[in-house]
Amino acid sequence: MWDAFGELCYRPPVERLGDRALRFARPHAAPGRILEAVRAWPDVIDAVIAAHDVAIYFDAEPSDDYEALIEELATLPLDSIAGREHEIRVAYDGEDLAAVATTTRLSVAEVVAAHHAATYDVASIGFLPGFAYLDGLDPRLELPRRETPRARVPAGALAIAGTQTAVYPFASPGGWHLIGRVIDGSMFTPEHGARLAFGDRVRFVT
Amino acid sequence: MSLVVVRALGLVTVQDGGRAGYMHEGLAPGGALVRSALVAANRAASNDDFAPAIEVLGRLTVRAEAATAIATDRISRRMLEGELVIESEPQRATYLALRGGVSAPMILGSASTHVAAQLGQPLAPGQRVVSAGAAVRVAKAPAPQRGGAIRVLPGPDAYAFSPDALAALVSAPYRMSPTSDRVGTRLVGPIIARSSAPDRSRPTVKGAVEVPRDGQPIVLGPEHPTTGGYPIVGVIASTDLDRFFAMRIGGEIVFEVGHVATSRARS
Repeated sequence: MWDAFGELCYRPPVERLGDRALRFARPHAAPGRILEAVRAWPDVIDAVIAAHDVAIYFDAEPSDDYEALIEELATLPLDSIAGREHEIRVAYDGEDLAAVATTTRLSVAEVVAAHHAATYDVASIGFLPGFAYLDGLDPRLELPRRETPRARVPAGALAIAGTQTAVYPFASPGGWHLIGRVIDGSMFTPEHGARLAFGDRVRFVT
Repeated sequence: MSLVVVRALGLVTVQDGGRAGYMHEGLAPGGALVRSALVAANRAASNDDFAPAIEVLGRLTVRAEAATAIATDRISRRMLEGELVIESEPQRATYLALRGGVSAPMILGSASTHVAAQLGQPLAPGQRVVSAGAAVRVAKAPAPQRGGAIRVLPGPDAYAFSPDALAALVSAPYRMSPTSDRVGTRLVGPIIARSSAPDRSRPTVKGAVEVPRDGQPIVLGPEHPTTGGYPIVGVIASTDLDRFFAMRIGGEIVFEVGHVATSRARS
């Protein structure tokens, strides 16, 4: 397969993740469409769509027949299935806000305005229950992760790292820059599971 | 039929077969650490195989408030009113079943407590445990499992290891660290040498043998994160997971290299 720069790029084959799961490179298609497609396959009980990989999980040993199905995923549309629109209420008072402003050579107000103005898409979900990696961050706010991760990031923390933003649904160790916190509920609840799903669009409001 | 928790040491939770179907939301299925032991306790109590029961990782003392039919994977008996039972075994996990199943709220399709996702809560002293009163059924005790080494299917992350990584894993026994929990079982033994490849966050699976920078492997348990940054040197064969998780803390584990085809043939 040739990539956008005309160079031959190697796509790793479908790999076995033990005897009940397969892992493969994430196809260039909307994640919600990938999820919907694979969950309709026989014997598939679930899937994880990570940044660069997809894993599908089976209740029996998967046969080799899935390789052809997996290849076809690349033909799925790029535009996502229309999801829900979220307005998540936040307070921009994170511990790292001043440091982010310094590093990005913006004022605190400009950092907040840039983060607040964008509309975000769910790129992948993982790490913690309900932890959604959101694409759409203003490029001026791109920063590498903290050199030393925090031992404990509080639940509800609004954070940025790399090209993404996210909310920590539960307290956990974490290396992202904390710029605020969610003030209108949880990102994962016993009643509804994850608040955000593939295809959803997210805005942060104060 | 009801019990009261007198003491709970370690982690004591209600577990059933877990909640499949939420991995895409970042939630691993959870459920009993040793599924066959849950099934055995439930069959001894004349329950459905995956009825909710109490998983004891540590020690539990309960008192019967009334005559109560209980079972573990080895015994089935009737507790008299006021009687105390202490459940603590040389094995890592034991299951205390009540006839009719343990009554617990169904959350996202399961009664299993999932600590990380704050679904349910560990049992605490004073808490009542009541039978759900489900219909009784009779089934044979499950077949005993074979002994011997735990088979590890070679993992997909060979790029992140030196070529002799699997050989190191099977070269000598590992010990189960007391810091193990339902998220991961930490092993102490031969160092698995890693290449300088950076950590990449990728999908995980229960039974995956992850290797952090220090080279001491961690086997992912039922409450594992759905993605993880440590490369996977191998994955325990699904038919050997229960034997692995049943091993006691401090006990020795011997691995051998398995293959997908043979794991199916032997199951």
